[in-house]
Amino acid sequence: MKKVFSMRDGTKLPVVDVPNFNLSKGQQLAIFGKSGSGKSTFLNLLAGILKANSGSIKIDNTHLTKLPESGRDLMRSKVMGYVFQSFHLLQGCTALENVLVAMAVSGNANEEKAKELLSLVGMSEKENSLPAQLSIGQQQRVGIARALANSPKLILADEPTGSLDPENASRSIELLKSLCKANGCALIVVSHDPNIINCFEHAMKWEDLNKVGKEDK
Amino acid sequence: MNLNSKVGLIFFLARKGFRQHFFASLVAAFSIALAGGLLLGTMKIQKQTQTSFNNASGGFDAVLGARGSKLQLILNALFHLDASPGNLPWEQYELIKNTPGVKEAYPIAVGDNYLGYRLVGTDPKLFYDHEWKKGEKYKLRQGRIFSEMAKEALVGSFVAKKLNLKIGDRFQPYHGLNFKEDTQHEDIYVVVGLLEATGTPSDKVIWVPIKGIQLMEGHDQEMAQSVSAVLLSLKGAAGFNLEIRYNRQGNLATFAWPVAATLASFFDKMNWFRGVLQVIAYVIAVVGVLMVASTMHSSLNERKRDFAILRSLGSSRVIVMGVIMGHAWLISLLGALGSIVIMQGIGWITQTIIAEQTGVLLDGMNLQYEDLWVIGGIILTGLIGGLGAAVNAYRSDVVDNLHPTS
Repeated sequence: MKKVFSMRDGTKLPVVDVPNFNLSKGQQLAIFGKSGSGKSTFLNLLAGILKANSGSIKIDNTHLTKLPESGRDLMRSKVMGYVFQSFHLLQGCTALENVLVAMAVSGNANEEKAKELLSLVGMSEKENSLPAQLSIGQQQRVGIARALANSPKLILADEPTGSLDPENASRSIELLKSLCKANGCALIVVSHDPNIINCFEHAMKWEDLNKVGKEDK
Repeated sequence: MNLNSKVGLIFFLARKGFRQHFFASLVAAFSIALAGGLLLGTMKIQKQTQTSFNNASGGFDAVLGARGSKLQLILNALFHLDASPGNLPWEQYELIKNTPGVKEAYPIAVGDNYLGYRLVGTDPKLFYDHEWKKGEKYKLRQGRIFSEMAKEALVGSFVAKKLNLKIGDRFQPYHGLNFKEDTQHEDIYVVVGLLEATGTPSDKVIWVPIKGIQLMEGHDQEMAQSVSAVLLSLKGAAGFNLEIRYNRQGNLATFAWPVAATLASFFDKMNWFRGVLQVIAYVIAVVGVLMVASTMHSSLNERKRDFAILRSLGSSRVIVMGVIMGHAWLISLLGALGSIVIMQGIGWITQTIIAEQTGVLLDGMNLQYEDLWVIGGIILTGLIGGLGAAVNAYRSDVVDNLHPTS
């Protein structure tokens, strides 16, 4: 799978070149590497937000790369969950509404289930709070509950601990891992923080996975 | 709200956007409301003023008066506005009263006032027999109708309220149609009756016996043998015949008939004013569109990240576009509702001014079927304002708005 960006001056910027990548059902993997090296782009390709220039992506027996944008949107809403570094909660919506909106996107809004998820991440008492009224750690927990909203088969976490202090970072990763395990969903965490590797049984260096620039050397 | 339907989700998020940008949304809605209200108001005022003036002609089909403008004659004799074009000899009244086809003929004499309100002399039969509206005769709120030869007055409801006149009150009229302090007559009149409101110009008049005006102290002898105009109800083809007799073959009097057509020509002359108001309404509408566009644009800039989040959750571009259009729709809907309120406000102010000036009471400004087109236009106007931002939202790049990247 390759992704090359066209720059404004006409030059081409290869960012991702992953010859082969497999993740088993329920597997948890950490990918670590330098900032700006293309890890987020890789996740965006897996999520179908970006389209690869070549290669193919198959998730849950569906060829993502063969789907039109609307099909990729639908697949993302039903099969995947996304956790971001800066949480990316909808600022006008409460914690509960953030989870409900994620469910509604796939047509499965269920208030009971949303409350249950918030309870799992220890946010029951704050379900009616707006993101601005929550601490950073609390916001990340809501982000995790939202990622699990549609019982996904794969969770993509992009620098999920980047905004957290070491204690909260460790707690969040453990929470994410345990919830993914309990729900039988696979997890890919990308991070520039080498400490993340200690939390995972399987971890790999992004530079080992991505072959961009390797031929030149 | 059912979040599982796309429309439900769109309006849920649109409502959130409205709340997040409450003040800007409210200002945009107000601009639309102002434009819509002004447009609806001018349309209705034009229509209802004309209808109300036609209905307020006191149940008369024609007016006979001195040679001159038909419109001036009607405004003076039926609406108690404008100056009298002159007098007619009493014989002309007798002549037309006995003409076949003339159902009713009431002479009137004007020329005096009390504190700015006109005294109109007439035959008391007007209040016993005449229907000022189909099936409606004048009704007394209190007292009785004046006697033919006494110095008695019957007061219209508007005047009674304004001057606080009661039965038994005495007053001395002033000469002329406009109030001047140094022109008071010596004659003393007694209020013997108060009329119920009719919503017509007769509410703004103090009615007295015609002999009272004719023989008022200080009036010249000629006036005792003349009338200002004759109010007429006709039957059959009398109108055509009298038109020919007075206006084409004779030169003694003017026969103002039909009243409605003469008033219509008057309102046609006022069309420019309506045009000006409509141009103002359209200019405000353009401002409204720009306000919505500006609100949507600034809201879009602030919400680009929200939309990128929605897209990352799996929302389609159409839903993101729908949220912007839903927000614009909420603004437009509020604007449309506001325009009805503003229209009612304009109606109330106009109604008060016209009633004060003419005594003609306009009907309430109720919405009618054809107004739905205007309301639809108001909503469409707001949606047009949101369209640019919605297209931008549709095109916006998810990745660019989901910083930082690693």
